Amino acid sequence: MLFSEAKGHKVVATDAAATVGRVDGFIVDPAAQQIIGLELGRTPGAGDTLPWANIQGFGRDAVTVGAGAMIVTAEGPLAEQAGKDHALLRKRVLSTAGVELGILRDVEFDPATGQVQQLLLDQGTVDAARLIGAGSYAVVVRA
Amino acid sequence: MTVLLRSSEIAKKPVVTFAGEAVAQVKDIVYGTTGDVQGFTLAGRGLFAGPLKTSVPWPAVVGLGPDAVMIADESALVDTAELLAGGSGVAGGAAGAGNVLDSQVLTDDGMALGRVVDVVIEVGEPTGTGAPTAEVVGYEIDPAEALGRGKNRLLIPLPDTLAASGEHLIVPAAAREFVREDLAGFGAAVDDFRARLGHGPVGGQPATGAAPPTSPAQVAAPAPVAAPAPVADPAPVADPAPVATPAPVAAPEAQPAPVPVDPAPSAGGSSPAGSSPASGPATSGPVPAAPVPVPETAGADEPSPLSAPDPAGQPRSLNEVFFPPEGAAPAPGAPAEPAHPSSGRWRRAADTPDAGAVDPVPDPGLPTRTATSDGQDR
Repeated sequence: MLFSEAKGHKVVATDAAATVGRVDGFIVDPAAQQIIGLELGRTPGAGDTLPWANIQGFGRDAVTVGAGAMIVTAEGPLAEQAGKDHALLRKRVLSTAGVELGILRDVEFDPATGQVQQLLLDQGTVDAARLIGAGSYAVVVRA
Repeated sequence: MTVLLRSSEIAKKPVVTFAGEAVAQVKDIVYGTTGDVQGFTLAGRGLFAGPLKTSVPWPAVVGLGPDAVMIADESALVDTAELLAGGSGVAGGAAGAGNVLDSQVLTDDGMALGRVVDVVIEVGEPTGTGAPTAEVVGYEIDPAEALGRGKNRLLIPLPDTLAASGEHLIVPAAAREFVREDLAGFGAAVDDFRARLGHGPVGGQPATGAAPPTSPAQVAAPAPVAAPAPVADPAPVADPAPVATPAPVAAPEAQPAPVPVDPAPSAGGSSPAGSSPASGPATSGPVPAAPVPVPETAGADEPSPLSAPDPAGQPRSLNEVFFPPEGAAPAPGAPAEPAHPSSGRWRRAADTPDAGAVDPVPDPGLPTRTATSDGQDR
């Protein structure tokens, strides 16, 4: 599944069968090439972050959670990697050799595990195993 | 794979950490005493950002590419004073032992090639877990008129080591032959140039490039420019260099030039050239330049398909000199010899007893003179 496909998905609490948010973004640990949480919008409470571990299912049409209380305020590693500075999309991709490979347009991930699989650039793709960092200036991949 | 970059292309490049943050931009490049890159001084990013007190030492550089300088993290930065203490020169205009930009490039035979406007750096592959290699391999210069190459900027290769001050850079005279107009092929020119210096002339001289196996024609050109100055006025940054011109003396067609050259002043080494490795052989008197091309002539005893003239009657080989056969409009003074077996019209100079009269110093990289059937040199 692509980030572009998953963005906007409803987040539904299975205990109340109610929509408790909408997927706005992805929090990725670049070093582990792993999605560690979702940034949500339109949440009923103060929390706006859904840790990946709290997700019950990531389907084609919705993300399910056990209860609305599983949506939390970002702390620890989630807080470190959240925000626009650490977002992947629309950033330049630099190799460790100092060569710009292009702009990151989309990311393919495994909805079952949250593992990032491919980085889709303007031209071509980059294996996500090469991903090592994402900051305000660039996404960095191994040369 | 190696990449050639101009230092001006490196300036203002962002310094990016593996975390994807641009922590600074390159301000100046600091060179070591041997032309190796020691590191970069930094400036802040942004329109009004000034210089930073921290710098990037070269060992901390993970990658240097056309788009960024990559470092692992900000902990790799060091104090600028610490970096400059180990460097010898700065390209870009900051403080330091000397700024190579705008220095005059002089050959060790005293010819001014131009002024440095940029520095060409060769960036190699990272070695193991360390930083990639980076070395100054050439300069971009605004050429002097005496070079006769127009006004477009030129690239000249550098030897492994050279003498430099804030005012002059001394390069071997052979550098003239490897001047290029753009970076395409410049890497090969650097390799060829250094191979020339490294192997040295056949006569067992040390590798200098001061007495290169240049053809008389090539040496003759700079002679009128280089010779007068040092002889007439030894005081200025004088180049004892014209002494290097004795090299072609062994060639029969060399210019009459610097006969009055006295090795003594050149031994004094009043210019940086005195510290150049080129000065040694340059002062050692006439250099037997002839041995260099000899193997080619000697090895041309056997007829080669290449040595046969083409249907138009012109010799194909650039390394052999042909004379017309006996009875076919012989050149004045040419001895009568059997015709070349492969042509019936031509015979090789090497086959004649007078072969030694032929220009004995052909440059392997340049066409030699050839004689046509009407006895005219071509």
